[in-house]
Amino acid sequence: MTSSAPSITITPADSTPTHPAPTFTLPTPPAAPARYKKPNYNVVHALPLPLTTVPLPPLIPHNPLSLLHIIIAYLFPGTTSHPSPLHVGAFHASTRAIHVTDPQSIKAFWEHGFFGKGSLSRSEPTWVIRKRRALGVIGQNEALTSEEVTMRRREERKEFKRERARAEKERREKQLAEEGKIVRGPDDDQEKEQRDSAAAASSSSKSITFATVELPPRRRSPERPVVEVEDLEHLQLTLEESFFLSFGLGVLQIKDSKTDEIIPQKDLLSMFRCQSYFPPRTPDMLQPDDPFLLNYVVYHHFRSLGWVVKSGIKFAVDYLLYNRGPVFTHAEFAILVLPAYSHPYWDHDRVRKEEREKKPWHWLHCINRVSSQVKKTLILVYVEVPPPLEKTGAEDNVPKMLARYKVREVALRRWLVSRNRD
Amino acid sequence: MTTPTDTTTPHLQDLVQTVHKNLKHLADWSSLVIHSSPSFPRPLITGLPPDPVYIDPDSASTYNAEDKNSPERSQHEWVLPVDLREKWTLRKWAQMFDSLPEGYWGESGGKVRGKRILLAVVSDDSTVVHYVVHDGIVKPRQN
Repeated sequence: MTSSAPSITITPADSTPTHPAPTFTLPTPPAAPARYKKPNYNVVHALPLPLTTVPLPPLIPHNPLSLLHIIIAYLFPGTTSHPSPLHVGAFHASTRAIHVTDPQSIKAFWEHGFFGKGSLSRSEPTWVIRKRRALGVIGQNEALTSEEVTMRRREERKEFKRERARAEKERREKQLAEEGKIVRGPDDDQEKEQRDSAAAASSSSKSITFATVELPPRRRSPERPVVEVEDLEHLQLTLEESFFLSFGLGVLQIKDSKTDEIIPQKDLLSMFRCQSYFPPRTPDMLQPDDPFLLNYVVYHHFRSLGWVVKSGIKFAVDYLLYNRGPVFTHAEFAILVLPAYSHPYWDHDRVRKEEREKKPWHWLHCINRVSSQVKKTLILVYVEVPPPLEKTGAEDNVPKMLARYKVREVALRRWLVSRNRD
Repeated sequence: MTTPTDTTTPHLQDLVQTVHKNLKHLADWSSLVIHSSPSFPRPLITGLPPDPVYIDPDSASTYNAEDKNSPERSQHEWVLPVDLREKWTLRKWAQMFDSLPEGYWGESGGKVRGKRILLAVVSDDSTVVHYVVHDGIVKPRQN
C-alpha cells in the first residue's frame, strides 16, 4: 500500500512570508487567533453522490420541438454519469476493508457523498497536512484540519480545568487555615519540596521495568525545512460503503490486494458476508442474518433516502445519519441495527429468538442516555430476517435477494414530565 | 477463544498491526513494542503516550503538563487491540490482567499505581476507540 501511495514533495515556494516561523512551545493559543477561513462547503460538496447528472431540457407544451430535444438528450447524453475509468479500490484482508489510494478517487468519494474515512484521520484524510505542520514545513495556522481545530479547543478546556482545580485547592486550604485545622507556616513549602524530591528519587530508582525513552528532538530552526513527507494514509471504505458504491452506484471496482485482479461483482456479496465475521467465516457457514447483510440493508435504505450514513462507533451505535454531510451539521440521528425474527421459520430457533432478538432494558438505557447527552435521537431499526433461500444459486440475483429484507424504524426519545409540559 | 495458541493467528496479528500503525502515526506514541509471546492470552502493545492517558484524581491539581520529568509523563501503557465484533467477558479480562507482569507499575498521585490496560477497539472504518480499563475500582475523576 505504502509503495503505491503518492509521495508529496514540498518546496519552499509554498511557504508564504505572511505566516510567522513555526513555534512549538505554545502553552495556550494567542488571545486573538487568526480566524481560519473555511472553504465554501456548499460548492465543494455540491454533488450528493460521485455521479454527474445532467437535467433533461424543459418541456414546453406549445413547442413540439422541445419534446424532440428531450428525446435526443435522453437517447444521446452528452456526458456520462459515471467516471471513466471507474474508481478502483483494493480489498485488504488485514483490515477487512477496501483501501483507496488514488488521490482523484479519494477526492471524489469524500467530496461527493462523504464516503470512507482517512485511516489516520478523524474523517477526511488530512494526515499529511498535520505531519507537515509537525515537521515545520507549513505554518502553525495554515490549512487547519478539523482535528487541529478540535485539539486547540480541547487544550483551552484543559487549561480552564487546571485553573479551576488550583483555585479550588487554594480556597479549601484558606478555609481550613481560617478554621485553624491546619497550620500554615514557612515549613510547609520546604516539606513539600522534600516530599517531591523523595517521590522523584523513588520513581527514578525503581523505573527499571521500562527502557528509557528518547524523544525525537523538535525542530526549532526559523527557516522552513524542505522535507519529503510520504503519505502513509489511505481512504478506508467499509464493506457496506464499498458494496453501495460498487453494486448500488456502479462507480467502484474492487481488486484483491494480493492478486491485483478485479473481483467480479457476483463474488462480492458472498465475500463481504464471510468477512463480516471476526475471524472471517467460510462461505458454507453463511446465514441470512450475517452482520454484513443486516448492516447493508440499513445502509442502503438510508442512503437511498438521501442521508449521509457514517459509522457510529464513537456514540455506541451502529450508524449516524447526517442531513447533508458531517461538514455542514452534526448528526441528528443515531441508528441501532436490530435483527427481527418474526417469520415463522425462526419460531423454534432459541438462540436467535432469546439471545439476539431480546435485549435487556439497561442496555437500551445506556445507549439512550449516551445519545441524548450528545443531542441525537435514537432510532431503532429492525431488519426482518427472511428464511434462508432454498434454491442454491438464487443468491446470485442480488436485488431480488435484498428485496426479501424489510426495514422498520422506531424513534426513541427520553421523555421528562417537567420539560415536556407545553 | 483465548487459548495460548491464539497469539499467532493472522487475524490477531493484523489487528495488532492496525493499532500499532494508529498509535505510531496518529497518536504519536513512542517506544512502541509488540508483545506476542505465548505467556499472554492475546498479543499486546506497550508504548509511551505523548500525554498521560490517565491521571489520578488526587494528583490532578498538582500535575503540571509542562513538567517533562513528572512521573505521569514516563508511564508506559499496555494496549490490548480488539475487534469491535468480539465479545469480551470478565473471565477474559481477568486472564489478561493475570498475564501482565507483576511488580512496579509506576506511580501516580504519590501512590503506587495499579494495573491498567488501554483497550483499543478497531472498527471497520479504521477508527480506533480507546478505553482505560483498571484492575479493580478507582476514584472517579472530576469532569
